[in-house]
Amino acid sequence: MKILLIEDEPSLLVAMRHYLEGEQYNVSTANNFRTASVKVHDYDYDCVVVDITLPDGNGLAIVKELKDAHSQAGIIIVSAKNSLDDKLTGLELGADDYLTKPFHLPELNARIRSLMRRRQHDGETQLVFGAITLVPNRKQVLVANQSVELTIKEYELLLFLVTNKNRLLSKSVIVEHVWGDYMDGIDSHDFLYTHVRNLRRKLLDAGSPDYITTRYGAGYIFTEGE
Amino acid sequence: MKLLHKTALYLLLAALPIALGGVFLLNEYIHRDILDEIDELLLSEFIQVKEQLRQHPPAATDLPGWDPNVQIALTTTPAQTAPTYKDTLAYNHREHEPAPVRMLRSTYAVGNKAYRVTLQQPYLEFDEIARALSVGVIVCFLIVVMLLVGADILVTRRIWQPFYGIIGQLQQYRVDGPDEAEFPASNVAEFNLLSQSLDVMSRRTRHQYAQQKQFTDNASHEMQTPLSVLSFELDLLQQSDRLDETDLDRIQRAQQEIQRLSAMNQSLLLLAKIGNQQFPHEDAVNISDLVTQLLDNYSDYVAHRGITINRMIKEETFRNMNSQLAEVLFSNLIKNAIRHGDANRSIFVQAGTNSFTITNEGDPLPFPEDQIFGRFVRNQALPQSTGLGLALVKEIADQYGMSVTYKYAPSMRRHMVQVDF
Repeated sequence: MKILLIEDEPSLLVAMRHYLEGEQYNVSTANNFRTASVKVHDYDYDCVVVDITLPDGNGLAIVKELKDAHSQAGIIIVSAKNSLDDKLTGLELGADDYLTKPFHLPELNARIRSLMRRRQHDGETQLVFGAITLVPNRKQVLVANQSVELTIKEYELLLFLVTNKNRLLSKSVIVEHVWGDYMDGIDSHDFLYTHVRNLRRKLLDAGSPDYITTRYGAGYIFTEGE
Repeated sequence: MKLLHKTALYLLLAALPIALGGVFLLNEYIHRDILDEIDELLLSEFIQVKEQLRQHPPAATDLPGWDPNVQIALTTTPAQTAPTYKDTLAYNHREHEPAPVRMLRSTYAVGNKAYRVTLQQPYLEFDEIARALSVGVIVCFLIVVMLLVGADILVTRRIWQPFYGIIGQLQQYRVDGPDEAEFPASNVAEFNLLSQSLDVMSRRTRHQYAQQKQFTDNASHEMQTPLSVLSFELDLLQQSDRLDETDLDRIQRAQQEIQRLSAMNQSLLLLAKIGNQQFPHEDAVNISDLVTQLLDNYSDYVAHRGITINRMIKEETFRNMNSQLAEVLFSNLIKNAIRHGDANRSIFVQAGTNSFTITNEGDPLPFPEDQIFGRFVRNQALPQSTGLGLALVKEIADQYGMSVTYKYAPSMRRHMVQVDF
């Protein structure tokens, strides 16, 4: 899957590239408007992640260029400004998602995956991890072809863990993804523990192996065992 | 009252005493003039009488008695006296009543005879003429004043036209509007000056506003980027296999502080933006729906802490305000109550037409009550708090002229925050 990252801050670009390459994406980068503009004209990407503030132009203009060229690429706007205007303008221009800095790399990965799933009408309609199968279209989880009854939040929790499999996910990142910005600044330590425990119990009861590993003090890893 | 009407009214009010005083003065003046004329008339008549007496001194018996206005009598006083004038009453034969007359009295000697001459001249219509004249003149004066006021209204209305144009422009003026305000030019020097001064002022204000806004945006961008770098580096570091639990714990705490710093940065920028009035767009915000939705967002967390929320939300309550700010206002209040409220207790939320009240159970504040809406005033026991949530609530409420009050009931251990719309 080809991804273009457009970001003027070198450290951010390197970190995003590193994380996303670890997720088996084919990552290209551009650190200014001009290069980005040339790249989106010359190559086809599955997803473009673009920072609004570039030294020589506005990232929104890239969105417009992509849309004018009828590109099929999914577009995620990244902005340091938590500005509703920018967000609305970006989405109006045809961007698919909007991320406000600072965000976490697992969150970026989840957004890209989700966008790719929505774009591929005929492709990946199922996510398989070991004994677990997720059907995002129906928000359904199957273990051994049997549907597992999960609450909507438990489903989103599982999807986020599967999307970022083999990665250590800290609690705050998980809570922010599943419950949103509202939980910002709220001590969610025990809260998340309860939900993970419930999810784990339901999966085990359905006959799935325990893929959720707890790293004390840090968070959770979804992995197929050591 | 319009300037136009005020001027006209004052002109008319000033004209009235002038008219009244004018009647009096004019009457006096005409009276005196007539008096002088009559005296002159009497004097010339007296000279004629003297001439007659000198040329044809009459016998004592045939002193003329046929004219009541000319009476000549022999007198024993030998000395001649200068004529004296006097106002008196005399019987008027035509009107059959006493009427005011002017009388000249003098003694005149011809040879050895002395005559006492009394000449009378009735005022008759003179008085009436004086009165009619003065009233007539004043009526004319009043008519002229009224015509002038009328003309003044017409002229003033024309002259002040550009002024009203400027006011119209000012009313529509928005420092953040898309277009530069154009104040109309005029051929009146003062209005032109006003227009130009306003042009300069509005351009300067717009410039400063734009700069301020730019600074706010830049500050946000400049700070969020290094925070993102920090956060990304920690995200990557966390994936390393060589870390033990203590290391991971340290990373977690660092991440939390980054998050807090970022939230603080966002809140401070929001405070600055509100102060700069950078949220001009207003909608009729459905408070009932907003509060319900915000409470629902926390339903999982509230259930986890065993908190029960008692809602009394009046349907279809609207308030005109910026929707983004409305969300910040109510979500901060709700989050505050949920975060600080004791576990396994209740929270009351009441949203009515004129007020919003939220109460939660908990220990008294660790700081003085009147500081609760201050910036960076926070409960040190909660490390993730920024101390800006309620400061934002206050700032937003002030922006829309709402009042926010805090009360603590020690007997029930309840904190209450109320917003009056």
